[in-house]
Amino acid sequence: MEEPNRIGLTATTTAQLDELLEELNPMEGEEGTRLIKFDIYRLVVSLGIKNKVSAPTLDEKSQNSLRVSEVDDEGVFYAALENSGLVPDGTPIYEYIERLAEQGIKELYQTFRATGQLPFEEYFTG
Amino acid sequence: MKLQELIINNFMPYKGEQRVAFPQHETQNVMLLFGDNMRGKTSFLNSIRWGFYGLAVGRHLRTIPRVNLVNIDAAAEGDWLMSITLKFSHNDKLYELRRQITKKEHISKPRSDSDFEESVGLRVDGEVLTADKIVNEVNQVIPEEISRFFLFDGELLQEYENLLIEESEQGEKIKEHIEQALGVPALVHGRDELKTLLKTARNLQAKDAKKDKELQQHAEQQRQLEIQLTSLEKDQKDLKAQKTEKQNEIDVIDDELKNTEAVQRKKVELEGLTGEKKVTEQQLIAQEDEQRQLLKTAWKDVLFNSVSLILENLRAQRDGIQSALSRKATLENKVKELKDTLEDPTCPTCQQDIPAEKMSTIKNSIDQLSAECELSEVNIEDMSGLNNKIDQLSKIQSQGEGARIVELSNKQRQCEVELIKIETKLDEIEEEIREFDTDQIMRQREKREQLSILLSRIGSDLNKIKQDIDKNQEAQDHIATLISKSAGAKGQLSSRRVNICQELEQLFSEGINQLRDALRGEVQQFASDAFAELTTEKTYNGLEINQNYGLSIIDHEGRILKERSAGAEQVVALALIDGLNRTARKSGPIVMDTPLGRLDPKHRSNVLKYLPKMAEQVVLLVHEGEIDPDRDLSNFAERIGARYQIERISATESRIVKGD
Repeated sequence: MEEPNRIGLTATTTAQLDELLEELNPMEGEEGTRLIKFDIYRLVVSLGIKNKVSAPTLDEKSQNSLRVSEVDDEGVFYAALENSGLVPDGTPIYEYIERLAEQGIKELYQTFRATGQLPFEEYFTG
Repeated sequence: MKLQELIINNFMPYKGEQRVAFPQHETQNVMLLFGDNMRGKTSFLNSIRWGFYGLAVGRHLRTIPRVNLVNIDAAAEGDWLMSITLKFSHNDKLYELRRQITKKEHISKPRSDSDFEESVGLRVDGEVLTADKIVNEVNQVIPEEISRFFLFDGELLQEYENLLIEESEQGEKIKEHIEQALGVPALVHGRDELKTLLKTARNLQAKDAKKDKELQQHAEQQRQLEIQLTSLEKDQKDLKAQKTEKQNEIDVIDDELKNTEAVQRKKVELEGLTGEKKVTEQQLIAQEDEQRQLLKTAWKDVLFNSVSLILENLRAQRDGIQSALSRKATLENKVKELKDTLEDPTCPTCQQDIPAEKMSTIKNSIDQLSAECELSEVNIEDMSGLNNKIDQLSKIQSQGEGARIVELSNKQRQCEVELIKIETKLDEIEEEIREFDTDQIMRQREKREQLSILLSRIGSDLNKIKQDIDKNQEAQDHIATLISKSAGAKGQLSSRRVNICQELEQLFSEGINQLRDALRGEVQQFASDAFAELTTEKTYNGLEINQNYGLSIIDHEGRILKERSAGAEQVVALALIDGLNRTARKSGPIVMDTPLGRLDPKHRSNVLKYLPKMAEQVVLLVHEGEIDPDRDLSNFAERIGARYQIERISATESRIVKGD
């Protein structure tokens, strides 16, 4: 089974991620730590693994904007998913990672839109 | 002296003519004048003061300009005539004092005091006194110096606390008034005049000494000291003038600030809240920043928890493989040992041959163990794959990012709630003080602080100059004595004059000290007696007077009470006023404006019982918050000889009407 070199998000979710970053980061010209796409991408994938999410296939074409070697430079996501029993047979692991990211960011975006904040308690406790 | 009638015409809020008759009965000697705040109680007090002395005073004893004394509505109608007539009796004579001002004919709208002309008339038993005798006659009956203590503004009672503070400006001012009322200045003026005479005498002595060869040096020293003294006295005069000027500036600012105290407090609160808001916003920014930093690696914290189970499984698998490997090695060793036994059937321990029947059992064991060994076959690649995975997953380490993010999130929520509270409060305060120029108020506060610093510097300079003057005078005294004792000057008129002036000056100086001590003792005794009747705490031993006429409460063990309530301050101040009145004069009226402001019901009751005893006539200007006409009056109803009420006609006009 061949693993993809590049993964990403659909155009819709990419726009949502950009919007989220704009909301979470300091305003233009202000000082402070800035979050980048990778940070949120990795967070939602790890949450997907933690919550044993069954992620559906993408409903749009992926933009494949991220290099796998950058998203998972130490191969930890791969190793975790390979042994999680989450990935359906015949599905490349990185493709599944992409699905987890797509689904996670969509949910994150909707929650943020609805409440104006991220549900950290839900993410990090229990 | 007893007041009989007051006729007010166009004075401050009292438009037109208004008459008030004072009680004349010996025991029903209290008159009550009720009036709400801003209706004209203090103006009533001022009308009496102005009638007697041509002076009406506001806060800090500042003179109210004439233009503000004429009723504003009457003036608007073109009636600029304002007058006060006081009828009173003294030593069986009837007095009628009338004072009036009106604008000068050529002035269309008066602006300053000089735009008015004043006239005063006094009849004694119907006989008109000439103008030059009026002031003297009034001062014989009721000296202006004591007016502060019989025309008394209760709202200023707190000022008497300043007498307890060493070197306080306000305290100094009040002390001066007290000493005026007690007659100390008569001796002080005497001493000062003697000083002038002494100066002249020394000059003459020095002139005489100059003619004598032996005394020429002393004469020159005296001349130099005199030059120095003149210069010091000039500096002292200038500094005193500066001090008065600066104090007046402070008084003006204090008056302005007094009216905006609430606004100032709000402004200070506003500044505090603005600072708090800034700090809270910075806290929020710092928390958000830390949260973003943590979010960058938070995925590891989440994954760490998820992979720990996977890692456990992988390690178990690896342990299984390791066990299998070890078992296989054990089996292979056993098979090898048995095969060796077959090849050399001698017991390795006892060196005896192994029987043939045993050999067949060994062969069977070898077959069985070899089969088991084949079953324990392990794929080494599986092992290295497992090791790789374990190594990779072990790289995921948690730094507890999630817990910290949640903690920060809670803190942020608290900060946000706090921020909303602060912003709401800020909005409220800003709305409250919107109409005030708070920056101007703050500028005035700063200016006042600078003036206070300047004043204290002037005070230090004045002390220094006083020391220098004292030293100079000591030196002059010394030289004058040396000259007087010298053979050449002995018996000379100028030396005799110096000696007499020196002795008299010393006598007056000592006399002043003795008089002050005696007066203080008397005031302390009278005030302590009054205090005993006024206070509700009967264990107090009395009051102790200090150099400034400030009174401290002495407890049952003879200790000075360090802290006292606002009510206690007021009772002590009333006791002081009583002590001063009794020390300064034998009889007369007391007119008191708002004397009960800060007293609890028990003290109020004590004061009301005591007031009729304070003077032959007592006029109380009160509001109904001070004396409840239904509740409080029962205590001294039999002492009330007259009752009046100030009625509001408009914001600028009040009328005095007789009560029930």
